[in-house]
Amino acid sequence: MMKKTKILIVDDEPQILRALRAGLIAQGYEVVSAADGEEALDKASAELPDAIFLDLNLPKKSGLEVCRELRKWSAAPIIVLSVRDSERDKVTALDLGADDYLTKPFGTDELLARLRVALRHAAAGEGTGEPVLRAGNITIDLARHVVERGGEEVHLTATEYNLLAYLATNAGRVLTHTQIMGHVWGAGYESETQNLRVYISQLRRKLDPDSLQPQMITTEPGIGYRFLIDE
Amino acid sequence: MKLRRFLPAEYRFRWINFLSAVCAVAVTTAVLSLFRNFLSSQVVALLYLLPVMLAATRWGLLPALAASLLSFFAFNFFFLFPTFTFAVGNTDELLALMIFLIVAVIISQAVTSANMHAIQAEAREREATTLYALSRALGEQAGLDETLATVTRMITEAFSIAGCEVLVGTENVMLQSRASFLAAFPLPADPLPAEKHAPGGKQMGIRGEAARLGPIRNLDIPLAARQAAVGVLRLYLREDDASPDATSMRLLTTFAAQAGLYLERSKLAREASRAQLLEESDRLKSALLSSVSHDLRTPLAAIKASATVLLQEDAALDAVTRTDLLSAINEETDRLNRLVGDLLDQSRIEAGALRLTLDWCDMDELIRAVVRRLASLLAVFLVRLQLPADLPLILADYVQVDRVISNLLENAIRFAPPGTAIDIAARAGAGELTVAVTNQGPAIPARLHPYLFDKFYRISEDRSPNMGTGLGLSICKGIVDAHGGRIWVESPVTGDSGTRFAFTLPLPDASGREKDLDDEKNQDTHRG
Repeated sequence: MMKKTKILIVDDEPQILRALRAGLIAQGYEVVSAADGEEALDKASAELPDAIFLDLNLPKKSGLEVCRELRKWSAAPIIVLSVRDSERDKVTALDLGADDYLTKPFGTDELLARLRVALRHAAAGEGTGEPVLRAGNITIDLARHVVERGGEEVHLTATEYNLLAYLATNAGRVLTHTQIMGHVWGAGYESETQNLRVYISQLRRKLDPDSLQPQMITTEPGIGYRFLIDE
Repeated sequence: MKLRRFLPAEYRFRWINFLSAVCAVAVTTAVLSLFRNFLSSQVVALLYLLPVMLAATRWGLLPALAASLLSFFAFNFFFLFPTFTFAVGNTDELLALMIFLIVAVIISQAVTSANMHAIQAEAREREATTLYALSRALGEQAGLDETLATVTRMITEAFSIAGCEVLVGTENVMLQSRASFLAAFPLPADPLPAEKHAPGGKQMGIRGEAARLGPIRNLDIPLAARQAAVGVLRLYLREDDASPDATSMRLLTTFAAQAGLYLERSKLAREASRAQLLEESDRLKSALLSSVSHDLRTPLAAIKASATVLLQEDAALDAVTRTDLLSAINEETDRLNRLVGDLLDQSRIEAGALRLTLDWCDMDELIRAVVRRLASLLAVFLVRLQLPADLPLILADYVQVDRVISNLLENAIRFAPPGTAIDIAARAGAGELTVAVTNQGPAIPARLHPYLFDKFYRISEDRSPNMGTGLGLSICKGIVDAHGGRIWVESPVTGDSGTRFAFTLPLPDASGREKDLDDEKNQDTHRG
């Protein structure tokens, strides 16, 4: 029998734990839970979960602190749970190495989708996935550095291509402004969001002319961007 | 203290003044002795009035009288026959001598009293000026602490004392320093003097500071108000400062009474405005409660009803009904979530706690994101976007501006007949970017325009779930205001229908954006 994927849920609200546990077990996951920051670290080292849902507002040790500690030794994807209006904390958690976030209240469908993306990404590892990515009628050939829309080659500048390639190889995951700028422009340019806005807008014009349809590059308000790709 | 300052230094009682008077008489005697053979006794008598006059004008009454008496004896001793004796030869000369003494004494008194009157008049004038200046300082529309700081400075300067401090409080409450001034080195305009912040609560402060200049003593004058003293006006006197005389005390007491009334008035004003605020916030709270309790309870009631039906063990529910009930729970939860979000935003805006996270935002992107998110609601409308390609970036809080556009668009949808057009336009003007959302629904009467941005104001009495919380426009206004922009309504737009809500956001100064783009365009196109 195949080993079940093990998920650690960290939240101090028993009602949330109960609901998430039920939803995840119904989908065939194995679930362990922790109700505070210290227990979260104990459980993580004892159970070695494949993915972690981590509430940011925790007793004993804050979610951000847990995230930082975990990243010292664990590569398991972390999905942060938090309430609206805490964008700063979410960004901090993501920059500390969390993989994604969910804003409470959220639906189970959303939770499962994020979990699948995170697990898939963790399994593939950075940049070792498919050499050719597809999203709608767009094809990105990472090996040949060629981008096509409906079979037609799309001409991109070097920066536009680097930006698109970075977003696409992290498809489904949210990337913070800092992460994107650090990766595309290099260290020291993390604060120049002005440029990022302009390049994203150019990329969208070239790839997504009918911008009223759901886009490939979606804006995560106050956080960053997410590249959506066919599952 | 005060008079001491206003009188010529020579007019104060001093031995030097007597000595001067004696010298004056001696010099006169010496000079007259040189010319004794050319001067008649009458002329000598007249000339002896000179030192008396001098003493009277310069050194005061007692030295003048001393000069008179001394001149009397010198005249007799040196100039009246038989000379060098105090004997007088004849009655004429005795009479002349007596008249001289009387005239000298009268002159002394007349001159000094005239001088005194002039000085007193001057002192009273200064007194009036000082009181006027102090009263004016109290009357100025400056803040309490600023006013008190001015007052302490003025008193210190007007009375030439070491320092002055206003302490506020009654017997029941500890006196607390509100303002202080120290001659030579003013204290910082801190409502609490330094010692209050010092560790261990050591009472150093202005008194300690003043004491560094030499020994200091306090003089407390109560700040009397209508009901009771509201504090103390504390004067710091140097060791050699005389205590204030009756006139100065009268002046200080008058002033202290004025200051007391001022403090009482400002306290009453503060209490009044606080009471008004409380009353206002009470009124708002009850309005909020009555409006919100309905909005909060409705979705809760729906959720509770659906959940309890689903929990009934004996209920025979078909799959469709179950799904229906579960969808109801799901939708009502979203509605509740939106309402709670609106309430939180509104209270944050009201409390002035709305913190903007400014970052570069692409309005084009922002508007399209909102349109996409509301796509299901917009499906029955003709959505027209007017977004120029060269729209500049703005420095704004993305999440908050997103809320403004979402609220305006939701409103436009709510009041527009299906099948009509909804226009969303953005354009950059002088120093600002304008976004307008226009629908073709019924016009809003102009008399209602002023109330549209009030919280809980709803045009429609309809409170069905899709009618909003009555907070949308109020939140929009709060967010736009926080960005330094404007928001307004135009209705009707064409003919007698259509409503346009528009807002502006300030544009940052010319940015280096265009340049960056050109640099990039000049590079080779990347083709792999």
